[in-house]
Amino acid sequence: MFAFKTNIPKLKTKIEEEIRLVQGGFAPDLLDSVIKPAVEIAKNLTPRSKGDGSQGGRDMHGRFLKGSQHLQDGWVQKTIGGGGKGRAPVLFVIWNNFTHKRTGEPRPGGLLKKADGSKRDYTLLDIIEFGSHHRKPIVPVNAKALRFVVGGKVIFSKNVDHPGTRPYAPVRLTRLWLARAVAKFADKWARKIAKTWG
Amino acid sequence: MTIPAYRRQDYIERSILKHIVSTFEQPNADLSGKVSYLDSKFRSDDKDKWVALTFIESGAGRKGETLLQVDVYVRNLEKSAAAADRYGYECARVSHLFEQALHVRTIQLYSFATPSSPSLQAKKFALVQNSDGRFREPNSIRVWGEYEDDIARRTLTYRFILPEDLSSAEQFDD
Repeated sequence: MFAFKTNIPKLKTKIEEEIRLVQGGFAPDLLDSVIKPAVEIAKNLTPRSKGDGSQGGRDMHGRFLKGSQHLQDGWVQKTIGGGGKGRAPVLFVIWNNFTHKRTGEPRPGGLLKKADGSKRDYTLLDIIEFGSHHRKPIVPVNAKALRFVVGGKVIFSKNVDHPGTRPYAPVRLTRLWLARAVAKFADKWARKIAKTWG
Repeated sequence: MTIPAYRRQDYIERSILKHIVSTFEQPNADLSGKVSYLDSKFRSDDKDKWVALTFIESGAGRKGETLLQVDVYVRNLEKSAAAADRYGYECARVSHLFEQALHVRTIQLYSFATPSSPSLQAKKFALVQNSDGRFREPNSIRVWGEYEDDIARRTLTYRFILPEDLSSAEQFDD
């Protein structure tokens, strides 16, 4: 007669302990220590003009509505699959809600317009991300002067020499930060799980 | 303790620019003199094609990475002319020249203590490696479908790191 002594029950207990650890805290920890800070980083990298923003609609005269929001206010995140149970397979999405849908598709209303009113295939976020080139001096076509508002002051001018926008790169720089933060996070959790083995 | 010259941000950036510019200064390089590092005085009104280089992150040598944005702009000229670049092929060709120039595994680092005659830093290199770990490849390529009515545009982003940045140590011990 033989009697086997194995450590299978002990292994099973340890693995169950690990599963409980991951299911109980992995996703919320990832959300708090990586995803939410990433949203803040994207916000901080997105420039904000003085006065009212341009993301919130226009009135019947085509003027921006008072109190409209800025592109910077549009950064949001959504947790998919992490609902009530905090289960391990979870997807986090960070996007700018003013210019894009959660799927990454640009919102039709967020596409920039050409002078003739038709739409381009990119949004303000693309210009903030990649910048733009120096423009030829902009001159009035149907009026004697150009009118625009800077810092709440109405300015009239015969032409505007736009130097272009520098690339602020909020998406690419946040991605870089995320890659480093996720690597550190994975390392932290690998150590946490290793601890269950004593 | 001083930061060694090979980890200086300005030297790393200038070494990358030196590599690019020296590539286009070769005989027969048709972009010679048309590559400019953007500054506030740059004006594009009178140019048919130009390339703008912008560093958007300068972390190489500091346990981070350096990102270079390369923007290729080509004016379509007269749309009806035979030479018109209405499908952006000229823009793609110029963009390809840049990909060729940066299709290298390493870029030699120099010290620019004497700017007119930079001195080579022996055995010190920056790696051209994208976020997926691939060498010699850009991090991303953005082809602008309809950027402006008369201008085609392509944007390449390159990532550079130093081999020393890859060490898992939290700090440099040099």
